[in-house]
Amino acid sequence: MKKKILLPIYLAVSLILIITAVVMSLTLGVNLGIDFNGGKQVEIKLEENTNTDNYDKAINEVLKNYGLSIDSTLTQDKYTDTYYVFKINTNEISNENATKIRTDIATKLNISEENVSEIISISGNVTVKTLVTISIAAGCVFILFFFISWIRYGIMNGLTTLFVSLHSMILSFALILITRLQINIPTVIAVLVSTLFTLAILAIILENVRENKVKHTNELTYKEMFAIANKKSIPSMVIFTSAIVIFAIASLFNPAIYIKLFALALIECVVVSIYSANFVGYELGAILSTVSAEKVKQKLSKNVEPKSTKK
Amino acid sequence: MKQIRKKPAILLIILLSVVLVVGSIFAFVPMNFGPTTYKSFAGAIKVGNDFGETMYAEYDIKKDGSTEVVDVKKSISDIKNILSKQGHPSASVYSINENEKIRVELSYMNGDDSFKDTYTLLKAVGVGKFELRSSSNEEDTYIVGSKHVKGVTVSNYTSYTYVTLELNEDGEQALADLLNASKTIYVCMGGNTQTSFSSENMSAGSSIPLTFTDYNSALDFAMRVELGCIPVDLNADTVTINTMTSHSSILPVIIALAVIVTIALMYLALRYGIMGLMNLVSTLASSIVYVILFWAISMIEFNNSSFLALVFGFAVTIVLKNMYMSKVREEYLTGKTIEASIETGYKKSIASVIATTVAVLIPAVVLAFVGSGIVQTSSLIIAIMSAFGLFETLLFIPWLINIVEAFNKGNDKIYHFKREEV
Repeated sequence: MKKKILLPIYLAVSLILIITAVVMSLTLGVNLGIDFNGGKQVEIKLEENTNTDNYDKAINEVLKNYGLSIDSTLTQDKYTDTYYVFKINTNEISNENATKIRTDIATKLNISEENVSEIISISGNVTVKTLVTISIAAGCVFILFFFISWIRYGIMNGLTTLFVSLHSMILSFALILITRLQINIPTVIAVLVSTLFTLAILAIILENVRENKVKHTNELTYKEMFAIANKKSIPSMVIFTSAIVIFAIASLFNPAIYIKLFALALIECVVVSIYSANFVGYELGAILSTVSAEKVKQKLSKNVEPKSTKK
Repeated sequence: MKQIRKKPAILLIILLSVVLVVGSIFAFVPMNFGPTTYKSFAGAIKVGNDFGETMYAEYDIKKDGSTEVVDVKKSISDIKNILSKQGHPSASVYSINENEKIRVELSYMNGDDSFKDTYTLLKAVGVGKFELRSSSNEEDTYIVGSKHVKGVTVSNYTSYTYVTLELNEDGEQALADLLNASKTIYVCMGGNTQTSFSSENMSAGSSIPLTFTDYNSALDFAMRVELGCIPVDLNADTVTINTMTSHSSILPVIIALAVIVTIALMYLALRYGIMGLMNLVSTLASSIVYVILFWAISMIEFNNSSFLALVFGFAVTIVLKNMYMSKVREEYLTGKTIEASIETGYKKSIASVIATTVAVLIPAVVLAFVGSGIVQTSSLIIAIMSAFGLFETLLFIPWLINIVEAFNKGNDKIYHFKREEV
């Protein structure tokens, strides 16, 4: 019975997700975090011995009415006064709403409106130069890794590495865009780390295939070698996944919203990494290696003349 | 690996124990000696704005200078780069209230000179426009940093340090005019004269070399000149510097790290017996090295993203060790003796371990070189841990196993490897 080729299904799923992400970005826009897009900031002057434990919840209840929420909070000193400061991830608050928000917050916290500052705009923290250098660095990494894989495992596996690492990175961003999670610098780090995860698992699979190729030259097909290698990579995959998921779950307990959103993005990136390396990478590597081996076989058989059996 | 005899093995164990105990004390244990507190290396590692104590400063942007959005953005970028070079890669720099002010947030460590250094650095950020004049009057300004200086370099030659100001084409002409106008050059920052020097031995050209006898003074001056060359003019007189505390907590991350390390060590110890226990010793040794390196490298600052890099780096070391130990176990299950399994398992695991390390190390090194800020810090952490993981797996742990075998003499019970009986 002919085994089903799953690669077209995997690639179709990936393509659908990427197209969905592109369409959603063009229609709904991209949910960029304060790091990239800037936002708004409000300072609340605190009286002596004020307990701010309930401030987060109370302010979020007010902001919810305007479709907004707190991104991060801090306490700062300014001359002899102490302020509770919160940031909102939006650039669009009308003057009318700004006044209403100030009044509502003052009422909710039972403080004078004078103690709630005007809503001021803040710019992003990340410069275009940072984004350009990250993109150049990622590009250099993929090209370098393609050449290293080509030298060690052959051109087909080099192409597999290049495709799978790009697939992992692009699909991670696509999933983050679809789920409308905030994109800021920690999210970018999460995507980069998960791409390294993909590269590591792929290296383990390809090294195992290379080992099996030497041990069982004519006994196993490439599909079988990749299947064995994929199975052998599972313990390593479990170690990486467990470590990252435990860290992500712990981050969900952090009071800062942007860290909670980063944790969710990290979990998505890990899922994409496993899918890229152990599903897409495995199938693609097996198919390309088989195709390459068939071509070599055909080339060799053309050079061999059939022996004459006539006496 | 060459077998070790009992007596040398005992000496090595004693030496290793002493190194680990002393190293652990200095790396992790804070101590009080009367008025002096020793923080330990771990306690002195820089913590970023996400979790640590932070100082902030707000600088008014002078209206008589440029307030164009593109200039404000370039100024923010320049300030970030300068602060990153000063050991604050995760500094937060942004404009507030429609480009009226620039705000800078830097973390500092409690209880040492870090507070004073951070305060001084924040004060320096608002140093104001860098100018070279023929007198102390504003009308006699010839060279303006943001218009005429394209770069600042610091170099050493014999016993002097040189700060060289690289000038653009307009700057070259301005320098020629300045040298014609006066034999004394006045260095001004924020409109105030800082110092002056003779220009008698100076000739017109594309650079101005300034001599310093003290290296630290040269570095400080170079940094201030770079800050004085940003496109916008910050008002040094109205800067406010205060402290702030982020409301995000480091505790969940520390707990997560403790859980991950415990689970990993327990897994290896239960699965591989004495090999897993040797991993415990190796992890302690490598932790001491990591803590010292993270303290020593000034660009490493721990925020949320850096902790993710730390977790990933640790996972890489566990994966490498698991690969080596599982290969030894595989060889033992084929019927070999424990000594033969250790030897062949080691040889057969080398390629996989190196391949996995290369897959992580090379991208991390590239990102560390090309990236900046948090990306650079996180990549550096991953690169250090994966390189050390390779050393641990291929050298340190096999060496420890060798020491164990000096006493064990091929007894396979301590390895927890069970052959299925046919």
